Amino acid sequence: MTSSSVPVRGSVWRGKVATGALRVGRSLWSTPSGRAALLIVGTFLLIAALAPVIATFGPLERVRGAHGGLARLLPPSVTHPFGTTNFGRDVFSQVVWGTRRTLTIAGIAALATALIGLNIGLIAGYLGGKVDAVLMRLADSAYAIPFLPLALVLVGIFGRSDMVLVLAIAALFWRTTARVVRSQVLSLKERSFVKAAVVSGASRRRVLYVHIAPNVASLAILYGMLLVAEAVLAEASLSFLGMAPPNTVSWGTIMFDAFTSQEMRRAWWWPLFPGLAIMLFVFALSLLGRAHESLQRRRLETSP
Amino acid sequence: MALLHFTARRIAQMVVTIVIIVPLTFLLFRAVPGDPGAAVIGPDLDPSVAETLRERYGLDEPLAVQFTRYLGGLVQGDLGMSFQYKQPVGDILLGKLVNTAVLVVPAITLALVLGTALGALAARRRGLLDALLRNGAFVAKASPVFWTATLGLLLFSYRLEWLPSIGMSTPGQGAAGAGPALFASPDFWWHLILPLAVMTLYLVPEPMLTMRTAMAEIMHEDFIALGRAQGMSTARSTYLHAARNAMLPVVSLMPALTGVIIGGQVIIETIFSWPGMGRTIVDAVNTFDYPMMQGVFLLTALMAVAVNAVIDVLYAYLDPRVRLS
Repeated sequence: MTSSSVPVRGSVWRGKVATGALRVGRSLWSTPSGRAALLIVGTFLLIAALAPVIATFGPLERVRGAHGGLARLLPPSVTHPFGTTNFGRDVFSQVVWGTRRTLTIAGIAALATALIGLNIGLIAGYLGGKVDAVLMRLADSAYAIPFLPLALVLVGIFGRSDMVLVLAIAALFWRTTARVVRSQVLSLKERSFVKAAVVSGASRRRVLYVHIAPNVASLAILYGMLLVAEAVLAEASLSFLGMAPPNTVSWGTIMFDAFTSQEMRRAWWWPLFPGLAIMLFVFALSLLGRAHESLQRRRLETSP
Repeated sequence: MALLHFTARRIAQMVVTIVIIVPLTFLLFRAVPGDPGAAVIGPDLDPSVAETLRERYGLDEPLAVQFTRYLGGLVQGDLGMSFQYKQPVGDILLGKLVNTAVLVVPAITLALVLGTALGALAARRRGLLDALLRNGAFVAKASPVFWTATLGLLLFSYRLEWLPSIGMSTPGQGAAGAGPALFASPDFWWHLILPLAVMTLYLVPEPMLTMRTAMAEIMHEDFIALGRAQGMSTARSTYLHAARNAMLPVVSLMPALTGVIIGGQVIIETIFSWPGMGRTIVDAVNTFDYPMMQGVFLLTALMAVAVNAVIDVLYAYLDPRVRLS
């Protein structure tokens, strides 16, 4: 991993992070696949933000047909583009509302995870020695523990809640960010601008968070973005297994309802569309990751 | 010597991980809200009964004593009594483990064979086929396994009615029960096809993409160019020399995949009502069977740690560069 930004002097957070994010975004936009991915992700974000406007029905609303009966298990039509469920719920509206919930949970989980990973990586890399050894063994264990069984156990013990969903994701996935940040910090702390700060009497905390952290922030942002994909799949898997709080609608819970209702065999549209949304979103994020990777490789090859 | 040293270090690392996982699991389950005893009978049980239960499960003793007894039990393979089955967790899980293995072991094998073959093919035939295979792999990777499993069910079981939808055997038909008699019956193989296909499709992208990248890099190495200069055929240099080396990264990928494999297995067993470990832990969560949850979690985590250590040592044996670094 290489960071292309090597500051001459110690720098402050805001400028660094903003320009870092902007630069990553702009370079991704310059490739065709990166642009396609950004458009897809942007569309999903827009759907999540405008869910009340876009959705034609409430997420749990039981729609009545022309003759007053429930609109049960209707195939896709103009009024119900994705069909309806056995309770007469509009699958299109559910997917739209689900976008909001899935992206919110996954976004919060990814943010929490990236922050934990960033801090553990910073501390392990900068302090070194025993602290580093202990933290890295913890990271090894986080790699060894399988996610879904742990998440199920956490739900089993603490119950079904948003907090537990986020906690289950953050408890393990900090490992990659921590390792990557740590290896960056190991090389950064040997740079002259960090040594200059230490010599001039800056406290350990100041050196870490004012001088070193801003230089690994864009890396943490990138990994945070990739974590969103993992978090979406994790939240969806748990929701599909019935581990989401009751009466919530996310991409995974729609599939859970479709599966447990036993009506799936008559209503192919019910599980098809929420799954398609997950696939499209995760695929777009992986496309972003790939575009970034190939940009990095090109930069490495062209730089002398 | 280097290999011995590497093995010792890897075992030490495994022990450290186990030393972290076991007490963590113990403490986690002490955090169960309320009285674990209440989960057996119900929330409003008689205080005197609750007291007896607490004594029976040893919950009135200090934490350290409980932990020591817990460790002692673990060493003897005692994972406690299942609330739901009223039987030792270890006994139940042994049967479930076999059911899981008959699905997951063929799936991993198939995914590795298919993945390396397709990856090598993609690396050699740059262009349209490569683009198709690569993007197909990314689409497969982005598809949640419960979605592909559902679509598989919809198409092959419900619409076409080619394959059975749930379980390991048709009820009241052929070999009943479990064990070798069941696994030898054609009825079982019939039931295995769909879950196996979905699991393989779920696992195949990672080895395939890794193989493709590794092949592309190795094809530029000097020893391949030398072989070619000496008149070796393209096929020979690709499949015999390059592929053999490219398989090393695929092997080293496996430890990182254990979490993915276990997660997929949990979901596929739930969808296809496959009576394995994965479905058992989901059931345990739904029925508040804490000893069972703990048993499945501990067994899966410890197995993952052990398998990873074995693979790492195997890898070091195959590739001298690893043990020397």
